[in-house]
Amino acid sequence: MTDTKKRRKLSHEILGLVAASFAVAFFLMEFLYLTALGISHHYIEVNDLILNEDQYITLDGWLLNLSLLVALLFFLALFLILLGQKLSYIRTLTQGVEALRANRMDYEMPLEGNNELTQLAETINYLSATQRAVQEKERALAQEKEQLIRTLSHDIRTPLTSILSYSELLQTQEDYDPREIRAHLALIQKKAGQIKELTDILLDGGKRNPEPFENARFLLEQLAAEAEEALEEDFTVEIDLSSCPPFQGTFDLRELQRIFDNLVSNIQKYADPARPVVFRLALEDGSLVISQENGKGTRQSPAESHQMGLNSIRRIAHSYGGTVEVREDETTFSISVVLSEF
Amino acid sequence: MMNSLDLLIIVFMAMTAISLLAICLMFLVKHPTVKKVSFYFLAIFGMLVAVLNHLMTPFTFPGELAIGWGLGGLSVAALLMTLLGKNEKLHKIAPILAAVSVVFGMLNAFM
Repeated sequence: MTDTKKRRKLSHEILGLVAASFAVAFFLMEFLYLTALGISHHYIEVNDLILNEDQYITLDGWLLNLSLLVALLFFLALFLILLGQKLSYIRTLTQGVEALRANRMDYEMPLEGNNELTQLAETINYLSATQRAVQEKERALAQEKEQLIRTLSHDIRTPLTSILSYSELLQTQEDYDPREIRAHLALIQKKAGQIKELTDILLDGGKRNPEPFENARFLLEQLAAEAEEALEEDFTVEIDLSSCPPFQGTFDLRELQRIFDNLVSNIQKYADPARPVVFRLALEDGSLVISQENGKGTRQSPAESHQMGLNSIRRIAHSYGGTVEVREDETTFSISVVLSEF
Repeated sequence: MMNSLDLLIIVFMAMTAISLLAICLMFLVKHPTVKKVSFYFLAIFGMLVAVLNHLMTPFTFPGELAIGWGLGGLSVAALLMTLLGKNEKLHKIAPILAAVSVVFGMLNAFM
């Protein structure tokens, strides 16, 4: 929008067209009248015709009237052509408005001249651009919401699978030590609690709940230990905390939990049990780096499920102003989750 | 007492000064409004010069009369090119045509 630009009035422009048409018509009239007068006088002289004063006045009058009539018609024609050309822009604007009404929001009004019609075209362009921006924002929000639901649904499946496995185990195994039963039930309860938390997030529309931790290293150590516990039956797990001194930070515990859950879930599905799984936690340049490396198993990762877990981790890292880097070759898979703002 | 020759010279000088000033303004000044006003003035002035040329030239010089009207016609063409032309090239040629019309119209009328 160019509000500061000095606009010409359409009425002034039309007056200008009248003046220009008049000037050209006047020129034509003078040309016709003077030339016709010269020719007629020359003809009279050459043919030795004698006219009295009244006849000369009549001749002049006729020539003048005829020239005036032709000039008047010319003026009208020229003015109407010029006016029609000026007003044809209204037709362009109408077509533009029709296009916008038909939801063709990418339509851009062509800008011609610098009058009220140009201002109208600019205003329509501004409104359509605003409408486009709103629609794009709505689309992005809907996409984000859908992505949130997909990732959370995926994350809910991880503890749910544990619950199903442990409950099935309790159901099928008969000679169970009561302590073992209690331990399994405690795990089921914990996983059910996780599901509840995740559904709460879902109901809150992905609302985060960050809280400050005096010793965030301790928290991460615990999460890594839980991951180790979940994997130790099938894998050799190494945890390296040597580059992670105690530090303070504000984290959403559920989000950190989800990062580790997704890592564990992917390891359980796709890692090679013959090779160790390594977790490294480090504090580098004020950023927390959670790295994990494992050998690749024979089972091919179905892209959708695997990517879903990684996407979930990416979303969480993004909310901490961080990044996720995945490196993969034929034998090894490694991932680095960098959290920068905490 | 001024005679008709004195008057003719005064009219010639005034018209020359006015047309030169308008041409300078049209080509040298960058302000679009000044350029535009100068152009329209020159175009109308070119037509007036053509009419004046006819009034000053006896009908026994049809060649000069025709050239005079032709030069006036250049001004009309320049005006119409500006008002009707959508091509940027036409808008650039129009001021040159108007200037040519005035300069050569003056030369044709007074020389």
